[in-house]
Amino acid sequence: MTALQFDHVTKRFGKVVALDDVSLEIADHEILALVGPSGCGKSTLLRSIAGIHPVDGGTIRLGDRVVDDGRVQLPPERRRVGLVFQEHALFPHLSVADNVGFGVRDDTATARSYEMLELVGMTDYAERFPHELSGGERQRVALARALAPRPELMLLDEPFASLDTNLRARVRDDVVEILRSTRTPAVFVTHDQHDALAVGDRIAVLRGGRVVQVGTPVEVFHRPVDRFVASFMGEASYVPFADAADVSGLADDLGDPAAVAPAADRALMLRPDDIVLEPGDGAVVEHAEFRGTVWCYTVLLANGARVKSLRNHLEPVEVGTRVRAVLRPGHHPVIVDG
Amino acid sequence: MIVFRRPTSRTGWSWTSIVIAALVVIPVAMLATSILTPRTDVWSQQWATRLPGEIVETAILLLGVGVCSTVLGAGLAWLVSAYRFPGVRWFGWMLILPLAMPSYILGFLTLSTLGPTGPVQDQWREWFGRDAWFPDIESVWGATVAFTLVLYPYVYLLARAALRDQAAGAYHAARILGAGPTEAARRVVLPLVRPAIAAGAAVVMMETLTDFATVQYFGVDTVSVGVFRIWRGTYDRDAASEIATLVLGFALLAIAIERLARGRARFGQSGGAGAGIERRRLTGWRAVAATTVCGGVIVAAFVGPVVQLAVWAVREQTSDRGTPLLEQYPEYLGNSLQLMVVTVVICLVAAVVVANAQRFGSRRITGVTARLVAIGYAVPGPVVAIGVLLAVIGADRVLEAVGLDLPGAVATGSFLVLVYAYVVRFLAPGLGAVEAGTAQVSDEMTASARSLGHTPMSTMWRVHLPLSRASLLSAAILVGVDALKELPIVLLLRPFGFDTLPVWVYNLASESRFQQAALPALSIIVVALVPVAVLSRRLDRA
Amino acid sequence: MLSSAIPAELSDPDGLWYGLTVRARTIVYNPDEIAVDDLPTTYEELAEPEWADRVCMRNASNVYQQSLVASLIEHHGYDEALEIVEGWAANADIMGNDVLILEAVNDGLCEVGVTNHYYLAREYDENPDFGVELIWANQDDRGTHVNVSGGGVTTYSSHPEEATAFLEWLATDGQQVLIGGNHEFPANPDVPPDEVLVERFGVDFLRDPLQPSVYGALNPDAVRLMDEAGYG
Repeated sequence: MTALQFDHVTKRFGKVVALDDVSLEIADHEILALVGPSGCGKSTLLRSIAGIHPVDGGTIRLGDRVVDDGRVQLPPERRRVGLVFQEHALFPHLSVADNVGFGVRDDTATARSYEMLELVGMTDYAERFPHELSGGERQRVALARALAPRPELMLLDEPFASLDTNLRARVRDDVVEILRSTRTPAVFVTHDQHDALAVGDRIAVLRGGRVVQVGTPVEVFHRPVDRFVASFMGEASYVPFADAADVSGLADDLGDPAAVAPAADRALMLRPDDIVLEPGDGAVVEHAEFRGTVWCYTVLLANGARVKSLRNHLEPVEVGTRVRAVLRPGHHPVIVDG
Repeated sequence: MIVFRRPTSRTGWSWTSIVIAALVVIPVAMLATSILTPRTDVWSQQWATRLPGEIVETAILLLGVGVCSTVLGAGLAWLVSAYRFPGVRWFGWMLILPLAMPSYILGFLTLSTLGPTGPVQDQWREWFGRDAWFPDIESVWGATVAFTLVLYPYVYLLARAALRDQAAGAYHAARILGAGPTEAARRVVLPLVRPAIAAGAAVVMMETLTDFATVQYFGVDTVSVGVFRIWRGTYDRDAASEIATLVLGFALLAIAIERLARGRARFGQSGGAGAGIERRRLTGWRAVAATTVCGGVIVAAFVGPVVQLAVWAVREQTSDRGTPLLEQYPEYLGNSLQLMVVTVVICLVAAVVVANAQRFGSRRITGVTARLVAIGYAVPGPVVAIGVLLAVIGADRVLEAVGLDLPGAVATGSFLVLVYAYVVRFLAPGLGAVEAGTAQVSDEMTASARSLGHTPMSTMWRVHLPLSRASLLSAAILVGVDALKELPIVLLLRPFGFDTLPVWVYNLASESRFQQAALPALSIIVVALVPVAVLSRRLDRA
Repeated sequence: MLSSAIPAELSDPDGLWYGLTVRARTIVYNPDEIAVDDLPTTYEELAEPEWADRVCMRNASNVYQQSLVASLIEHHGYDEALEIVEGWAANADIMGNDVLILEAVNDGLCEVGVTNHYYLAREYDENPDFGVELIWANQDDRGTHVNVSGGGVTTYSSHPEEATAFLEWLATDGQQVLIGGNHEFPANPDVPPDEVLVERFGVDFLRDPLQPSVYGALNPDAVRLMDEAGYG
């Protein structure tokens, strides 16, 4: 059964097409990470699920309910979705307990509120006000508030963006754990590919209002459908198809030349961990960047392409050293548009 | 599969917002379109007689008051922002006190003391002979002085805020880059605060244009006075409304001048700490001069007049003539308060609806309606009054045509019409304040409340309104005081026998019964001091 | 009953309303500045060139000034009235209210003025030695121009009988209440005017019998006429 279904959904703001024929599905208990650069339509997509932006065409279903078909829209308050924002949007005039109980519209509000605060570990803060909390604490309260009315779907809009790096990973893991423990399906918008890779059961990449690729984190990272997805999901180097011989083993990995001939004007995408540097000739180390556990080297190939290569910090290589770039066994390049 | 098909509340909010905007715009639009079918006899008669003179006097008065208020307001703002001299702390907030002084009160005070039959000129003639020259107070120049003294605070306030929020950093940067204080002021500060000064001057001109009572004390014949005379003297509504389009034209001209003076500059708040400009100490004659100028303005525009009114009020109440002043007082005060309360309530409700519709309705529609609602404040009082009457008469005819007959009194001057005109004119400041409040509630907060199962109405009551309580209060104060002080609209539209405190003051002052006008005049000033006190506290805190 | 208490010339011809008090607009002067024999005796005379810069009059926005001009139109026709008002415009210092005119006359800024009678009476209340006197204008022809304040019952009145009874009271026993302290003349000829008026002004003067509804109808013309005459 699907928790959410987008069927050819289109949304315009004036002349700008924010969502362009988007189709998408989320299974029960699934967490979908929605990524893309700013302005790609990911927040619009989230808000159209919540009912904040009515769509112009297509159909949105939550469970078996049509909530928006471009003509009739179910108002936000009847969609049973939970919303968590980057700025938390806690109500400053209400205590933590009242914030969490706000969406429970019967006499169980207080009990449910404490149950949720227990879940997020914030029971001791029930009587405080939002301005007395830290960023991470606010995030937990916002999550508790959104979960309290037992939503059928959670929507999280850049929920960790306002947290500093140290706190971020911990809060992120906590949130995912809570979502999984309550078996709540979620859509989770981020512009950070690390968050997306860590959190999503699947990832949907958006660009210019279109869904470019949907898949598991491994698929999206290692088998990107195009150069945009490749670059967006992580560091990538590109070697023109014609120069494949510059990296040892690369041409062999492509298999039957006849089969790939139509791809002659395309490029090969390589992740920094795909390349090993060996003593030899044909390439030169141009730049070295220290990353703590590893070094990342930029290597200039014979025909002018550049690739990156990760290497253990115990085996440094001097800039200027002549080397041979080798495709790491078991790794495969991805053919993308040049 | 269940498909929900019900009309969304979104449409309801948008439509309500459209209706409110239409109610504000229609009167002005009806008046403006009356010029499309001009009555040539009216125009040729007016053009051949008074109109050219009225246009010239209006232009002189507007320019005079605009320029004098700009120079005085901006100059005082610079003085108290950039220098230290004896009393500067007090002057900083006391200089806005004249905001509480309606022009029709300062007008009659000026005339009664400095006018040809006042004590000053009596004394003058005693000293220098009957034909000794004395400036003609009953003139456009006398009126210019009176208006300037009560209206310069608009420029002063905006200029001070701009100096504090925007210009201070730039001023210091210019000084560090080697500019002297005067050069820095001229090359950096002035261009930065120019938009604020222009905005203040536009408000000043609008307030001058709306008046036709004060100018009559001074024998100044403006277009607004012409409208009033045609309205009251010839009962020719069409003629009055056509001439009133000229007043509207002057208002548009004032706005155009503001746009021009502001240039292409749009400066947001710099978001700095607002520390202001480091003040330099003035010494010697400069300090004396600064103190004298500030003190002189405050005494002339506020303290002097209030003392004079207080003396008169006490003398009147203790005189054995025993005028029935105190017996009438409750009635007129009651009328004023009734009008004020009804206006405040309607304006607040409408402003809350329009402000919240921007959250709950279609943004494309509600953004426009909110801007339309705001035009009322830029339309002079006489234009609003006549436009509202045209609209009500039009509605009356439509209703009659469909067989609904309103009591005749509705059209020709009822409390309802008066309230309608007040709402058209004062909804804008109310909306401004309410919007400032809802702006503090983020879109995300609204969305959260909706997603948590609350309808727009419930979200408004439980989130938006509690969070904008302070703004609602200031909206109520702003609208209330404006409504209490308002004179031109009441004079044109008041129902028979319905006198407010300002009308009473005006009538008494028109017959030179200044001593009797003192008590009601003081009451208006005292009430008008409330928002001024709030403003000055805000000014102090910053 | 109302029509017997109130003279016809002070009421609406169709009985829609009845005048209750009477205000006379006439000529005031400063005896220190001008001898009684030299005084103008009519409104029309004030338009003669000899009165240039010697007279103070009320501005055109004022309803009393408007009705005085309206009565001129009725008596002389529009063109002749225009000439008279043009004469005024050339001669007069035009002021914003009647009290200013009285004070200007008192101060000797003008020798004569035109005001409503009761403003002068009020000045006497404040200062019995106030240096201005009045004469009743146009006694040798139609009489002094008078205005009324009156009352009627509205079409939509919810209590027409009570309203009529109240009007009847105002026209008779209530007259004293209406004129108490304001020095207007009672409209009911059987009611005596107050003492100041009797002693200082004399009350047996000829009043212009022109009905208010007649000069009221001419009010728009009067406003236009003053526009045309350039009367301030």
